[in-house]
Amino acid sequence: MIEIYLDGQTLDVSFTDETRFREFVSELERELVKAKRSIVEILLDGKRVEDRAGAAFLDTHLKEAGEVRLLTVPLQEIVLDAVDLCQRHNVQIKADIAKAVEALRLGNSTEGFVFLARVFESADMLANTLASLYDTGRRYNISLFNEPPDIYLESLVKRLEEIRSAKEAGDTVLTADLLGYELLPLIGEMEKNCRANVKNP
Amino acid sequence: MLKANHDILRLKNPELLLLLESGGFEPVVIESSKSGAPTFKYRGIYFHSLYDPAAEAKRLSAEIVSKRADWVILFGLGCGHIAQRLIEEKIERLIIHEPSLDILKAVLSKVDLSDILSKDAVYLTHTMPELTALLRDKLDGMDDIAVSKTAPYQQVFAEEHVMFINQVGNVHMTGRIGIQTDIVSRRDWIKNYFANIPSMRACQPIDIFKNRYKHVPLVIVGAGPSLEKNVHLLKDMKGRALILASVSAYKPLLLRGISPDFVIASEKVDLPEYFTEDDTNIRLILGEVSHPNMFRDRKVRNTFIYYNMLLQLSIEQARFWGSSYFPLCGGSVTTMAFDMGFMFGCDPIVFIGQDLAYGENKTHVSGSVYGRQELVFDPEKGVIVKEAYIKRQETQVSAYDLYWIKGQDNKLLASRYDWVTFHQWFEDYMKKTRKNGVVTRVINSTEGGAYIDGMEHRPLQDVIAWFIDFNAPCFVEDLIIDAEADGRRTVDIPALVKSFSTHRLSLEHIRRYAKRILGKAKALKRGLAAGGLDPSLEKDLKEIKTFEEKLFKETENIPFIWEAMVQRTYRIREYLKEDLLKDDLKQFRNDLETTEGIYEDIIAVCDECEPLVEGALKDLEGG
Repeated sequence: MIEIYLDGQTLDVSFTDETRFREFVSELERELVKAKRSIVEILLDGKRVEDRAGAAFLDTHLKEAGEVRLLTVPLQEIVLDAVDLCQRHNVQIKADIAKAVEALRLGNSTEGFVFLARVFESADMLANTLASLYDTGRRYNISLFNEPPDIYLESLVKRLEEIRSAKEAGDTVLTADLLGYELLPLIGEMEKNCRANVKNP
Repeated sequence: MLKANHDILRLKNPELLLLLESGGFEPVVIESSKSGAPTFKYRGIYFHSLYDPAAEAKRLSAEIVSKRADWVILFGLGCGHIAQRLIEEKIERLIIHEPSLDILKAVLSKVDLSDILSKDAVYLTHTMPELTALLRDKLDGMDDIAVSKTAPYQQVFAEEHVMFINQVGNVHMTGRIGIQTDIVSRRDWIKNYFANIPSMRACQPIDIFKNRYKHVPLVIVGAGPSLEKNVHLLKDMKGRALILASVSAYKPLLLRGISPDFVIASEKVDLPEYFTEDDTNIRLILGEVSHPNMFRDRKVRNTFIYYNMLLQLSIEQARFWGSSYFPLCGGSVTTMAFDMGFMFGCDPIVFIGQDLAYGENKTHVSGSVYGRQELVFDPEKGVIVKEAYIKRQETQVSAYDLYWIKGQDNKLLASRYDWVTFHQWFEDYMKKTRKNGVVTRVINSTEGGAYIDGMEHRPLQDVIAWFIDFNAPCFVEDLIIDAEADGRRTVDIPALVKSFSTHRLSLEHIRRYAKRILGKAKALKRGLAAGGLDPSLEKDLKEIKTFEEKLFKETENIPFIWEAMVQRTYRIREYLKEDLLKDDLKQFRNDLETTEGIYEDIIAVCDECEPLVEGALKDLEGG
């Protein structure tokens, strides 16, 4: 017989032999939206579920499990964590842009390209975090951005492509220009676009 | 080209203008950046920012400006943004080397750089020899330099950039070597000059060979590692060409059965290891500043003296010794031998063993004072030379910075600071010689080694084929003996006595003034300690100034005193380059201490020189 705990409290749930975690989690999340909380961890028979969105977990029947423990946190906490992550990406990306630009302008292209690779990495992570944050906001019907971040993300991809082309052409001046005069202001705009940076939701 | 640019170039660099007007350039489009300032793309990449070139130039030049160098040397003019910024930052001495005529032509057609280029101490060069000549002319060994380049120039003109960096470094180092030589050698030269007075009385000056060898081939033999490759050919030339060996090549030549007609030496220290035990018949050309032992045990009739323009004593007195010829000197005896070759009237002048670069695991030909050598090249540490020196038991290990020089095969060769200095001098000499219309053929027959711009580079076999007439009898020895017989001269003893007597008197006066100045400086120090910077100190200061004027006036009678003071002179120049302190009192104290140092040195020099002058007078009056 399965035992289900939500934040340490026993949860009485009625289900059939056919009920899978897909239906169970979906229903539970709907309820949690009202309470502005979100699941952050699931332990199945004492083991952490690594891929909560994966079929392996979602298609499992509840009857096959012995114990399920779900951990939730208030939405505000999630948003703040995500915003914090975005800010850290922003700081990192801006620092790496500055270092890449300086190195490229001074002719230290090897060093410049190392920082450039880090810019690409941080930009990728920033884009993913922003997309998740935007999804979360939409799900909970909270406006976290002044404008949908998609347009910024499109610009980001375009700029990164231009930078990649300049680098491949061996044009260090243009690469540094695009980093300093295009990408850096874009990152600033993306920062401003996130309302969560201004006040907590 | 814009008229303003054209007018400036015509005035400051007409040769470059001519090149730019010759046509056939790759077109370069000058674009407007987002800020409106010009930029361009060349070989597929931008050379300035497409957004704000002036702002970028400001950032790039910040580091150069902060160095506060005496000269800034830029690799690449571009649209002149960095040069403009440097001038705005009050950098007044600027050399700009633009490697591309394509870029230069396009930029000068669209961008008005006349304001920059018209500045007195702003120079624009395009060719490497032009840059080298300018650097040699303008840079002083005491000058600090800042070299700057931008990423695109370094990227597109990688090879030219390497040459540029080497050349700037080499010229700058040459200047510093000159100062180092001054500091290390001048006092010894003066001492040797006085010690050599009896020899100068006895031996003939080299002047007696002036124009004695009209159209006789001269072979100047250096001791470079390549000498091994063609030294045997000298046997064929003996008697039909004048063979003049540097002292370091002397023993290697003897070892190979060749006796040079002359050996030239100028070492200020005693180096008996350069000679053999039984070389009383050696015919020597010695500098007046050579170590006195070089003259010892030599036959007077086989020893000839030359006088150096680098020594005030010689400039003043050479004519009294019967000499009016001062060989130009590039720091080695072979450079002086080269100048002597022209004075002798020789044609062609041929070099062998003049590598000016490291050989394979060797710095010198075998048989020289260096025994077995082992060279380890390390890009970080330079070159480490392990060698067995003839005089020492243990292996000697020395480390040298690496310098690079263009080889005869156009590749860069590893070289040493002193060889680079000589190389610079040879090229400079050749340039001046040709400019003066001298047509003497100068052939570098060194097998490998450095390429010397301005000289022909031909194998020694060619020289023999062209210039040696095997059907004619040997004639060189006769010409030497004839010259010795004809060229007797007299030494002007009264003039020398008068000159040294003036020195003696001036030394007395100078010492007295220096002591008075020191006394006043001490009084000033006491006054400072008692009441700080006070108007009452002015009297002592004025007196110091009066004594200084008298002392300086007196040194005009004995100019070599400043040479004996050379180390202090350079220290003062360094001191004067330092920033003034904000604390006036501290600054005044520092100035006072520097002043004391100067006059303490002057007294020491007077004490040192007085017995030398006395000795000279005794020699001359007694003789």
